[in-house]
Formats: sequence, C-alpha cells, structure tokens
Amino acid sequence: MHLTLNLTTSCNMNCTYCYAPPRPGPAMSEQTAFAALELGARLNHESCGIAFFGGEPLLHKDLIAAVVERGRAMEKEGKGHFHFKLTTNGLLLDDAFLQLAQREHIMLAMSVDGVEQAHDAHRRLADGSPSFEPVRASLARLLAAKPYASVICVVNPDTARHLSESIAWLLDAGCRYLIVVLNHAADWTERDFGMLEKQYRKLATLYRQWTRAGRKFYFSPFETKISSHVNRHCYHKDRCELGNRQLSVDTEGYLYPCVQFPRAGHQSRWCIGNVIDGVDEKARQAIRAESETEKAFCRDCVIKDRCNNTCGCLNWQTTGDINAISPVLCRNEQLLTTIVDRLAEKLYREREPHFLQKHYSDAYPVLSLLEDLGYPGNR
Amino acid sequence: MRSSPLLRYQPPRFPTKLEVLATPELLRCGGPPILPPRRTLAAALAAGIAASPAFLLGTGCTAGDVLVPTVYLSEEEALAIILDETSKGGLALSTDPAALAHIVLPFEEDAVDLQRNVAVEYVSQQDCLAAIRAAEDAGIVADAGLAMDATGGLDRGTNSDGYRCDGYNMDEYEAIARDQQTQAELADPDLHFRAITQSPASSKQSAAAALRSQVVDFLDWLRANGVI
Repeated sequence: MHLTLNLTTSCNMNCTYCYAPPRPGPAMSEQTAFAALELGARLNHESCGIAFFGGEPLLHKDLIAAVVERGRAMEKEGKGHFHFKLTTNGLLLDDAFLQLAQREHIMLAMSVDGVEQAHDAHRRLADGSPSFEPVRASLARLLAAKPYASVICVVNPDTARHLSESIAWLLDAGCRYLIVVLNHAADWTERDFGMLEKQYRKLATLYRQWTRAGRKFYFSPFETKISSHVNRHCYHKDRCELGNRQLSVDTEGYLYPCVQFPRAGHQSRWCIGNVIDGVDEKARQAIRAESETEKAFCRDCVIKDRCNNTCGCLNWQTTGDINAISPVLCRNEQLLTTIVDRLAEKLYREREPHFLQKHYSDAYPVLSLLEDLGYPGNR
Repeated sequence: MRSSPLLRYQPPRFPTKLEVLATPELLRCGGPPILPPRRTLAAALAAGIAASPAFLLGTGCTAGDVLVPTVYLSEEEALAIILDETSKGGLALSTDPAALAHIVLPFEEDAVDLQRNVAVEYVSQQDCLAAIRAAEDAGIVADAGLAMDATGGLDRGTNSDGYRCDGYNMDEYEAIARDQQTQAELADPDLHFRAITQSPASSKQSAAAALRSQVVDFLDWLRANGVI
C-alpha cells in the first residue's frame, strides 16, 4: 500500500479542468505528514511509495524536504523503507529542489499539455495569464536534471486536434515517459471524438516510425493497451483497484481510497480512517468490494478485461458512481484498443526488434537503462 | 454522447507473453537471428539486478524464465552451470579471452561460441556494482533508479524490490515489477517467498536450478531460430 499526501489545496495555477480547483486552507502539518510516514511503514513492509500531491506540492518544499529526511532517518533506524514521487506543474522547480530530487531519488512527474496552443488553452496561472513559457523553461530544467521524469498531458475536446503535434514536440524536447490522459469529465461531442480518432491514428503512425527508428519512449495509453493483450494473464493486477494499492491522505490526515475523494470531505463515506488511527479496514473493504462488482453495462463487452472501466475514482468523477461507466471512457477505450491493436499487429508482423524488446522482454528496462548509462561503450 | 459495449471483436493478431513462452518461434525474426544493438547476442541477467535474471535472446527475440531466488550465484558457479547445460545442448562455448574479445556485451561477457555467433553473460553482483560505480562516475546515477535500487538491495543483503526506472509512476512501476512474473512463479506463487525464507544453501540450489532452467529455455529458443 502506498500513500499520496495532498500537502495543500492551494495552487499557483488555475487550470480550467482541475477536478479539485484551488481553495484556501491550511497546508498539511509536519506532524500529520510524519504520522503518514509511520502509517506507510506499517502498511507496507517493503518499500512504501510516498507521492507528494496537491494542489501544488512545491508550494511546500520545506515540508517535502522534512518528510524525505524523516523517511530516510526511519530507514536507518530500520523502521521502514520509502520511495518518493512528486507531481508538479513545474513552475516552482528550482535547482535546489532538483538537487534534492536527484539526491533522494524522488521520481518527478510534470504536467505539460503539449504545444503552446494546447497547453495555454486550459493551463493558466492563478491570474489567468498563460503558463506555457515558464513551464517550457521548467521542463528543460527538469529533463536536464532528471531525464527519466515523466510528463502528464491532459487532452480536452478543444485541444484534441493538437495531440499528435504535442506528443511529437514533447518527445523532441527530450521527454521519454509520456502519459496522455483524457479529461473524461469534459463535454465531449461526436465531432470531438472524430478529431480524437484522427489524432490517435496519426500517433499510431508516429509510434511506428519512432519505434522503427529505435527511439526509446514510453507512451501511455498506447503501451498499456498493448500490455493489456500481451500480459493478458496478469493484466488484471495492473488495473485500478480502489483503495487497494494506494490511499490518499488529505491535509488534515484523513484517508481516502484515491485522489479524487478528499474533496468529498472526512464526513463522507469515502473517508476510511486517518493517519493516527490507521485504516478503517471494514470501510476500505466495503468500498473495495463495491468497486469490484461486475459493471452491469460492461457485462457483454468483449474487451471489458482490457478496459479501464475498473477505475472507480474516474467513474466517480464522471458519473458520481464508482461502478457507472461514462460514455466518454467507454468510447475512448474502444477507440484506443482498436487503433493500438492494429498498430501492434503491424509491428509484430514486421517483427520490429524494438517493439518486441519493449513488450516481450522482461529484461528490456534493465538493458535499456544500461545502454543509456553507456554500456558497453564506457567499459 | 452515447456508447454501447463492444460485442464482437477479432482477437488481436500479436501473441501474448504466455503464448511466446510456450512457443518461442512466435518471435522468430525470419532468417538468421538479427544481431541486437551493440552486438549483444545473448545475455543472462541474474539475481544481481533486482529480481530479474533473464535471457535476452537477440534483438526483439526473447523468451525464457526470469526468476532466480534471492541468492547470488558467483560468476564461477553460474558459468559452470551455463557451460554444462549448453554443452549438452550442442553449443561449444569458450571462455578463451581471445574468443571473447570478438564480442561486446553490457557487462563482462563470459563465454562465446564464435562458430554459431552466440555469446552468454551472467550478470553477477560484482557486475552490478561495477555498473553502479560507472554510473556514479558519469554523474548520472541519481537518475538510474535501477542502479540505486540494486545498491539498496545489495547493501541490505536482500533482494531489491524490483528494478525501477525513474519516471514511471507508482502503478506503472509496480506493473513492470509484476510483468516480471515468470512461468515458474505463475505455477508456484510462493516460489519467490520460499526462496527468501529458505536456508542459504537450499536457496543457492534454487538459484542454480532456475538458472539451469533458463539455459534450457535459451537453447530451445536457439533451436527454434535455427541457430543450433
């Protein structure tokens, strides 16, 4: 079990599609954050992932540094083992923090919605002004310090037309871990989906070209869709399971089954404990059981086992019910599956070496990294 | 917007990993095996790096189990097993430095059959540490999650919790770790746990058996590709 610490509800941006728009309120206290570490160590005897989230977590760099320091101290005392991750809008990334991230191996993810027209359409500073230029500068700093950092790119109906251009731009900018997420809560129309399909098809062509050129990249959701077939025997373990792999901790220390739920408040049924008393197992299991109920709508669907329909968090955000599937999700999953399967079929038919390595070799991440490290050239 | 379940869909025409494990020919590249990047022909990654020993069977052509219990076989022990099994399978691997000079593998190559263009290496604990040192020297180790994880695993005298490539989010990282499940693990979910809790001697036996099994898989793959 891993923990996502919502350090603050404040943000220095005001993105139009944010599911938890910034609001004033006290940040998480050091005492609460430390209690979360203790809980994490109790819940996970191997390495507990601590993800710093918000609002914008870098508004509280001192707290992050203190939590990491405390975590390392606990490790030395044999009281736990931790790895850290942070998701940021990038505006407050500075050299000092990047050094901390390097030193403490904090995995970083940054939100960039692509080219300027796509990014500035929704990702606005708190005063409403565009954020692309400062974010582009931050992205360059980030990749210089952490070349394996991931970039999260949200696609909206009005920005779908920029998707392939955006991904190509990000890849050319040096991003290698690209995670594209649809804003499922947006008001998508048939016409928007027509554009999205066109862009996915363009991306499939680019993916094939990039792969054949030997470029290394991880592009979700294409990789995950391929994996949903290649690793069919164990893919169910990779799918979202509410309250099963990670819990979200709000600024006051209350626990929720995923990142969407803190906004429901600790008096809602989604609150499943707190960092002092621990997890209310009965409540957690009840939510988990509810989320694992077969989705009536999906019962006869032939790709239901490869679909993201199990993401109760997303379902709740879009329909208000953790078991109700939004039409946007359903259509997007069908679109992706069909386009990506045809892409993978082509690459397989060609026995494209990099494709086969990426998706069938368990050693690929290791060997790829070794190659990046200069092996065997540096020997 | 409306949607409806997909009621008919042609199964994808690319194989699953289990199908590949059962029938390595599915990844046959056609004609002679393509030489992988940097002339890496075959690599046996073993317990030194996280939990994942594996044979890399040429570019894009891979198969074989990827499990070795959490005990490190020494270079010598591993090489003895590899040479024993490959000789039974028709390979004539040589450890002659002159022959090895023709091949470059990610770590120290261990044996080569120049006639059949096959090389094998076993990545040991020492190899791992050497890689980490080189990465540190290059000033990029902070981003080599793998290297640091391996360090942690080695320092603690236990197995690392899986290799981690910085940049993956938590779920994806875990998915990668799970991807390393092997046929052996699938058949026996407790295998890894038992390996950890067994006595060192029996763990070493398990490691040796797992490695032997990998070599056999490797030979099968070579046969499937017409190399031997």
